[in-house]
Amino acid sequence: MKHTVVIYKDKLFCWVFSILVFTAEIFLAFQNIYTSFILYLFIFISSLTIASFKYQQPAYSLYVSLVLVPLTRIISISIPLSGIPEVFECIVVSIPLFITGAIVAKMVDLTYTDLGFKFGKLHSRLLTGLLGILLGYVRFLLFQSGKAEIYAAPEVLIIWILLLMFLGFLEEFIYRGIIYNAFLSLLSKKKAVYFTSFLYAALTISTKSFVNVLFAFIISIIFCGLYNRQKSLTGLYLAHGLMNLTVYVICPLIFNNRF
Amino acid sequence: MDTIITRSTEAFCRGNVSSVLIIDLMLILLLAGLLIVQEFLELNYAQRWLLQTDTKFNKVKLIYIAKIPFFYIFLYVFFYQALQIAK
Repeated sequence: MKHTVVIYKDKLFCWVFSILVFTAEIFLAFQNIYTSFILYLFIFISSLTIASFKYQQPAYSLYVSLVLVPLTRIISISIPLSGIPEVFECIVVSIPLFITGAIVAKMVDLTYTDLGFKFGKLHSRLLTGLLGILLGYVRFLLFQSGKAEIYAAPEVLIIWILLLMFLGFLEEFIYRGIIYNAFLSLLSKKKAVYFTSFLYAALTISTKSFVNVLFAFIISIIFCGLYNRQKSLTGLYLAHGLMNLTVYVICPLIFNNRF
Repeated sequence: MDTIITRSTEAFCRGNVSSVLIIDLMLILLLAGLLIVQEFLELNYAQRWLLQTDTKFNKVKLIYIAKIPFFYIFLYVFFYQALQIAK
């Protein structure tokens, strides 16, 4: 009976957490940065505090893992970038996220296998990776990204390519590798997919594009489905990286005639 | 990529909103608070010697999740502001 109550409370936390993240992102979208920041800070600290009381309980990994969601925004809001070359801004923001992600993965005892570092069935992983190009093309058609002139400057093109691949890897590492696995420890597969995708899509609300949010939600569902099927993230790391590359470099170069 | 850095967060960062709204200062104060809490917890657990070492270690280690990124932000803001003044 007590166990059921605990799980019910943890499930309730998932809902409250998702709604709070959604609200904070809405505030951010409407330029209310201070409220959004305070709300994210509140979510971050409360998740950490609850996690400290949940040690050795089934939901411990969930509380610890979810901390990465508000932390992403706290970092990306609080770093001043005026006068910093654009190529460095993604590096500056992603370094602390990657380090914290690695710490969280270690704390919740996720192994390399859990994080999807399986290199068997290479053809299957490569095929999954190629899906990223298709998804990137669809996304480009939907949004017509106009940033190619920045990304395609020859002297920084190689750095951008590596960076976009790394950002794809980082998103998969955090959302599918850590958060999705944490949801799976408590919820059914279906619910875990929906919660992960909701959080993933919620963080794109500040783009103020409903289509973008919906696209992120669908992409996340597809990627979670592929992860469930393959039990490996190697292909998804590649797919997400290639998707970023297609949207921000390859498609603008081809379709906007920027050679 | 959009979940990590979006156009709007990029615009805020380029406009140094964190300095204007003293968000960076708030984070640095929070970091100081976390260090104090960590010291307090370590001291508290050292007195309660009966508590399992594993539990102690993990509870204190949770603070690292906040401490490391906040310390990174502190260092970044410190060097950034120092360079701005030097210019």
